[in-house]
Amino acid sequence: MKQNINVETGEETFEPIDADVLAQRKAQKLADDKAKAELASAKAALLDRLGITEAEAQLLLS
Amino acid sequence: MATTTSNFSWPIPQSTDLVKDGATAIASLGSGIDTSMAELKGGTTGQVLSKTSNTDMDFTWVAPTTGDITGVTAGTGLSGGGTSGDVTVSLATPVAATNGGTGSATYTTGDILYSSATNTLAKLGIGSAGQVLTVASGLPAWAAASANSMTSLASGTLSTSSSTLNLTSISGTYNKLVFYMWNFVTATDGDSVKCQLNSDSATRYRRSTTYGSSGPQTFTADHVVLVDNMDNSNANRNFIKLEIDNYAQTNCGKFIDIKSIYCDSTTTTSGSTTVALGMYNQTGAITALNIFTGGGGNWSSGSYALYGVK
Repeated sequence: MKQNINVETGEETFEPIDADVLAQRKAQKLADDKAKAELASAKAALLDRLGITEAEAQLLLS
Repeated sequence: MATTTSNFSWPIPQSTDLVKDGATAIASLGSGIDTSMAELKGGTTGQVLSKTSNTDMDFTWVAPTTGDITGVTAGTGLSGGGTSGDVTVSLATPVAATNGGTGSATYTTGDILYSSATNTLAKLGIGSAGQVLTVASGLPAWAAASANSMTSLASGTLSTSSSTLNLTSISGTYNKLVFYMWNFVTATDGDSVKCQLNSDSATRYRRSTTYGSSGPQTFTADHVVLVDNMDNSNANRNFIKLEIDNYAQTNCGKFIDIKSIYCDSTTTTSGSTTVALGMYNQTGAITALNIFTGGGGNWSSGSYALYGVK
């Protein structure tokens, strides 16, 4: 549901979210989660190749 | 053979009865009438007849109850009244402030009642958009908001049956919008909080966590992320602040200053902070701010406030 607040009048209404929008948001979250997992995996692989810890990598970037 | 009257059952002779029995019949009739009317006898001056019970002809003479209304007189500010029958009393003039009224019969939309002197009420007409209520010479007055003053435009709690907060019809009379959201939690663990402007879901947004990058920017997102990958078991340290400068301008793109923090459920030393810039490549004035959970799940809790800043 959408919680709509008309700032000018203060009126609060609720309305259903379009099913396509909801499906798109869920798909987006799955894609985001996948991208995050891949990034974390790539980061771990790189740290492994370099033979340093994440804290040490942060030190290099600081 | 005597019969009886229909209402009081007094004995009366029939036309076929013998004349010689007439005196007896009349005596019986008189006796019946006398018995029925017995309780109507008596009483004193000023008394009224009162029913003693629900039984027919069961009366008692009583004195009228003290305090019975014998007349209604319309006092100051009233009309009508009378001494008999149904009486109507109406207000002839507005009730004075000293009698609990306002003393006024007409109002204009937006009027505010206030006390202008001891026991005196006055009306303050509505101010103009963007003005704030202040005090001038000891009385309330509308005045232009001072620079950087914040005016509350909306505030409340996030509905737990909703995943989206739409703040619409935002007035364009301020220089900047500031939005706060705190103690919010999403029903889905690991969810994010995102925003759009003017309910625009086209790919016109970009988010950068690097200030000062000057290269070409592409607008590849249909939203701006405010908080990402939230732990949903801890609400009381989560906070978002958004600022949108020049939101009412119609000749430039818009950016959103984003600052946010959330902590995980078990420690205050682990969590996430965000300092980012959200960009929106449209030039129209911002009249709506849309905040929603990234995964479409509902809020579990949270509060929000929107301010206009002069």
